[in-house]
Amino acid sequence: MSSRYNYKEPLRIPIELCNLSIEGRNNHLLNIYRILSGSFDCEDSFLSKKLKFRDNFFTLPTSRINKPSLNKLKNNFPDEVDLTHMNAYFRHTNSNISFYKKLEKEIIKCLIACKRNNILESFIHLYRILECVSYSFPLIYISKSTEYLGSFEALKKFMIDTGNKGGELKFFETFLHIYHEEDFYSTTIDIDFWEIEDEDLRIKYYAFIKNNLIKPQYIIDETAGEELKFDFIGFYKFLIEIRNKYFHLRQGDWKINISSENIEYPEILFGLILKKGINWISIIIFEIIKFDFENHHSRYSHF
Amino acid sequence: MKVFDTENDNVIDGLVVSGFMSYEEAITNLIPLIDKTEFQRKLQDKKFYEKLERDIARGCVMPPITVAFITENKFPAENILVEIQKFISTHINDALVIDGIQRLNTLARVNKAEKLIKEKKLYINYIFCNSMDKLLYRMITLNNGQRPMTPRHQVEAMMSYLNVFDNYNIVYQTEKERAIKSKINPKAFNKSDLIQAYLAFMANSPLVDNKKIIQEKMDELTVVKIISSEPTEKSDFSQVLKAISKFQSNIRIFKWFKVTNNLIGFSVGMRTSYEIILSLKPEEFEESIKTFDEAFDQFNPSKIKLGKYRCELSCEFIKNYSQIKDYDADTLLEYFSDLTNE
Repeated sequence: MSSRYNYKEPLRIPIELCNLSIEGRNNHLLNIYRILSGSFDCEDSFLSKKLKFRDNFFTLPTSRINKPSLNKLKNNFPDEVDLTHMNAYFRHTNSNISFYKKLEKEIIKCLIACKRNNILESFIHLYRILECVSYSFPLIYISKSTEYLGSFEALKKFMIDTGNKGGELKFFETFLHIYHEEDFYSTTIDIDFWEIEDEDLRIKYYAFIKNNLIKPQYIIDETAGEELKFDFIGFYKFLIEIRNKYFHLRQGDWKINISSENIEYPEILFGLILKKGINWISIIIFEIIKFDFENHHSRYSHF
Repeated sequence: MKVFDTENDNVIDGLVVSGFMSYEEAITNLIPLIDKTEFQRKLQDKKFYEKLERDIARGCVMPPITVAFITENKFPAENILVEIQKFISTHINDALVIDGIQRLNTLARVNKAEKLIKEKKLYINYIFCNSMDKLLYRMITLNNGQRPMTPRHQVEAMMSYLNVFDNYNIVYQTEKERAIKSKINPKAFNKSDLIQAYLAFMANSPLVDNKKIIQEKMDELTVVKIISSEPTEKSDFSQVLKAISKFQSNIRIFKWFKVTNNLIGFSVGMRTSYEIILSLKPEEFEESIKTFDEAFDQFNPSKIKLGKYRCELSCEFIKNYSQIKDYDADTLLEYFSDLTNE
């Protein structure tokens, strides 16, 4: 059986940059980069639908790509990187293939569901993406650190800071601290409640999120009933919290889960946060790509 | 409480009056009004106002707040200031605070903490007009309670005030001007570079232009950094301009300054090292940046981090200039490697 999703190249790519093309190659890391940077078309053979992806999730907040171009593809990287560097990099990305393949499939599912407004389905895939990367990214990071001694210390520190009770998701949170000096780390993720048209619902869901799903120290700023600005790490905790409380309804638990009495319109509630969540994880995915790129540079510094 | 001047606003058919209250009077008279103005922006998180709180306790003067009265009352021309003052003190409960709610809230918090300098003046603009619609019109057109200017805009305004060309003989061009090849002046700086350098100087941090974070978010971050790095006692940006002015005729140095990340790093470093840098002869400074570039070239960071490191290391270089000025390129390279763990 042939695969369900056929990738279509929206860009005109000259032969000397062929490693940047999504057609005729099967570079999963490149595909991930192309999908999340909004320069990606694909045909869903099951639905017989052609879908265009034009959101650049690598900017904070997400930006819209009206007309994809090679230049825009390059723009996520610092000025000093040009297309030939990128082409050389994507020629050699051949480690962790099965991991990136898994990740790519989850991202495709997530974005297609999001595009088709299947909000909860998309959110489930977002959560699967988080689980998928939470253990692997720190390991990729450590395994590529050239200092092995340092890498042992780093791993030990992640483990100790995670503590006995923390699982993989907590491990990931600890790992993220390595980015604490980056601008994105101090940027807020903003939830705009005006996306909810109904006023009663807007106020209700604002209060619900604020009072039940996030600790006050992770709210950096707020305009009552209108907007919540989350701390970057706080937003990750919030994603986990809302998933844990909504996708379970065990009664004997000491934790209080979200009952559908409280959330009559889960599409609306999750609709507020879905794209922000995709944006959030994409920022981290890009950091890993950048990191890999850097190490690649030292291995293939002839380019 | 006192009012001291009036003027008619012909468009909204109203009277504008300026005056002041002591902080103590403001607490008694204006704080109770705040809950009433429901149409106002909701209270924001107090975190952002903590710095203002600190400044008020130290005795800063805030920009005037705006208080409005909706009234048919016409004041007689004679003794108008006395009449207005009387009206305000008897009708203060009917007043609306239309701009400055956050400032008043902050004032109230300082008072609660018993840190208020009670006799300090709060300046107030009063608006008297006879309809809510006219008042609303004035609020909207005057941008009251709206988004403030971005830090970038404010710095731009300050630059034109500093008159960088006349006072420092520094030529700059906008990107628009540089877009036309024939108009490019090879002796000119990019205006956006100078603005970025000024912002970084204010923020005391080598802010690298981060394309990934959209401008509005970047501005928010910059503001937070500027607020948390209080003004320095001695150094100010004019010393950076003085240094550029002094060194720019040296072609080697000029070229070095034209690299945005050098200029930004240099500016931040000048906060600390302005005395020693300004005492240098152009030839001496030229030697220093030659050493810097030699070390940096050997440092050879990846393409990804090139810009970031140039910015941060040129900042470190200038900041610690008195300590490392005599390093040769190899020693400097070692110093850079230690700093960056690379």
